[in-house]
Amino acid sequence: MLKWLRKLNRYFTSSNLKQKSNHSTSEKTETPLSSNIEENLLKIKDTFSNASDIVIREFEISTRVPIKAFIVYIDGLVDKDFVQMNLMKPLMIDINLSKADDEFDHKNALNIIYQRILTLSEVKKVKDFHETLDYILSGDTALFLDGFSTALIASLRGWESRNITPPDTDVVVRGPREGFTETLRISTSQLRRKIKNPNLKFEKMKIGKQTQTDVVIAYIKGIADEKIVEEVKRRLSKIDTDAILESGYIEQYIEDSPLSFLPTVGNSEKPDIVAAKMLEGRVAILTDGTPFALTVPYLFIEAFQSSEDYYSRPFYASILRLLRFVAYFISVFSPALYVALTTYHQEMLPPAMLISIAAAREGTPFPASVEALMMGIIYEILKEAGVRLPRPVGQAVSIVGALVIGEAAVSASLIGAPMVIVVSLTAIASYVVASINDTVSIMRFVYVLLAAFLGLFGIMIGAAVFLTHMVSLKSFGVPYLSPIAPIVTEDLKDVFFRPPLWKMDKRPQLIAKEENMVRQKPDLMPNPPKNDRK
Amino acid sequence: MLEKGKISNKQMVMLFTICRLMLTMAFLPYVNSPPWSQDLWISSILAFPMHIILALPVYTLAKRFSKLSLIESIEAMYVWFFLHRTSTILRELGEFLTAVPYPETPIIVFIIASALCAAYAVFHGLETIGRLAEIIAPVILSSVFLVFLLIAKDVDISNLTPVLEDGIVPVLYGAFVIAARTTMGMFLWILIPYINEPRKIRNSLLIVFLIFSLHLTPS
Repeated sequence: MLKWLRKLNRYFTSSNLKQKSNHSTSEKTETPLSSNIEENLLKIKDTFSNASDIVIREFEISTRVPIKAFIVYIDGLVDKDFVQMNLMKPLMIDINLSKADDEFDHKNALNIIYQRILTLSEVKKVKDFHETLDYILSGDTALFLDGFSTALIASLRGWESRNITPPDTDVVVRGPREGFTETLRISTSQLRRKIKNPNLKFEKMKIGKQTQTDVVIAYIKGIADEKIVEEVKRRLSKIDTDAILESGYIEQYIEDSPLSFLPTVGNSEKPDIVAAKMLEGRVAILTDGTPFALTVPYLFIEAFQSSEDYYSRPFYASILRLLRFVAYFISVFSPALYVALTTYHQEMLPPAMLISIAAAREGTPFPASVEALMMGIIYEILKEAGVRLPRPVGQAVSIVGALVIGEAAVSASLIGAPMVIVVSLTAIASYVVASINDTVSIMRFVYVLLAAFLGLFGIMIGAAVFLTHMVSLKSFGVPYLSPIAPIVTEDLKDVFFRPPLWKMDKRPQLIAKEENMVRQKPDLMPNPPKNDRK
Repeated sequence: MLEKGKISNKQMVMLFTICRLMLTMAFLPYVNSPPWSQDLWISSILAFPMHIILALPVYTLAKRFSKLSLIESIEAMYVWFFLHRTSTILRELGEFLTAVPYPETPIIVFIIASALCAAYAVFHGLETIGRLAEIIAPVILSSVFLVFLLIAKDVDISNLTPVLEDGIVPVLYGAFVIAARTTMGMFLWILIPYINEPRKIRNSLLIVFLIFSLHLTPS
């Protein structure tokens, strides 16, 4: 048994250590560009054979001593107007009119074009063929000149992208409504607009052998712990796979406990939330092609903290915070408790309640545990169908769900009315803490089963094992359940309550950099003068 | 040393609190101890200094050999002691559950379930157990407090009179028995090398004994 367990363990750990990364461009063999333009042209055409979206335009730079040239770009990724106006026009027309024409010859052509002709802000000189390819594939335009083994890369990217819209997750009443979009550059600009500070760093990586997805590690230098930043980089550079299509791919490759059903990497769609997390010392990972940014380390309590808590005044926000914990416990435990109480521990219910429950369950064919499991499964089906169904059909589903399954099942006395109440309460409560909704669903079924077998003792055993599992987890070196366990007295005030902002003097102790803990001046409590006019 | 984790003194206090409180709350063993009278509450308070006297040898040894764990010092005998102790505790839990809420369930179900639960915690190591204690202990302590608050209206102080009816001797005897029941000296010793601030161990111990004595007095 132990041997088998050890083998299993080795199986899961060994695959992580087996290979070192060999994905990035740096390990590709360097092939310098040729100084012969025909050779370069042939090589490019060869590389992009059968790619109908590649555009190669050969032309002549019309100077006293004409020079052959061609540009390469991918149709759809560049702004054609800009290429025509700011790349082709200067080279084919404007160069004649400028003084540069007189000094122009085969030796300094590249320099003159680079320094005096191209009126573009972002132009790079590249000597490597594969690097050039990377730029072209990312949407840049490459300019090759005859007689030079250097290509000029002009960034004239422009493609159709979604507008910035309010996201569907993390909906707030008060607070910014913008969300990230699929374009990485726009996401970084949204963060930069929130945090106008040169210490905000965006470190770029390319992950995915086939997709070459741009990934940005964002953090605030001086607030984020260098060890965590290094760990993020180390884990990201270990990913050696074909494709990164969404940040979920990255999440599953870097999380601490892949075998746990609890998430140890957070995600958010909103720049203000990500900015707030970075200001607490967390590291964000932005991925091109998805509006969801990852944040690490991710703690359990983050699911209970809403961005709106901090935007509104602390009193009601604190009540809401407590309410979320209550809702979490209701959504996890209520079906199991109902099963345990009606099956094993009837003596714990007040007599009046016991009688009405017994009357409602009179004539129902199934035991409470079967009812609970059945209703739980039906609810999950309704939920899944509600997400996938086209909008006009969605209403029909909710009517079928609410009326047919709820009302009709009770009046046909297939299911007791209290069970319907419990399940619908559970369903509503589980949306209060939406970000850990999936783990809640799993736990609910486990607890119902345990309650069916062992009553309250089963729930207790399940809760003890679950709690043990939770405290054993770590997210990037930070205990998952901190600041509750281990107790961090300084941070505990932002767990069950939302303290006033002027009281939150320090950043989270286990996350932010140790030497830079102070967030604000102490005693910022507003204290208006007393002697104002009546 | 197998275990590499360290626990904080705070976590140690809470671990001890849990391991004693659960038993005393389930069984109220003190009702059956000397002085068998209404003066039991005095015994309970006096158990505090007794605790200290009983733990003194262990504490002195712990100070001297704070790097050696129990197993490393005196091996086989204490392994047996722990086996025995663990099985007793499991049995006690099982007996409690079969006595009232589950009269028809075989006791082995509860013993195996609890043992598996404990094994899972051990599998994750001492740090995990320490953090677990930090969650569970406040819950237990606050529920004790809550129960005390809820029954406060029924408390009849006159039941405690006459004070010291039979003199101080039986009360002192009772205090000794209460403290002697706490075999946690042994548990304590095995945890010493894993505590991250061995210097503060005296304060931690005092807090543990204070919690014991105080929580027993109302119950």
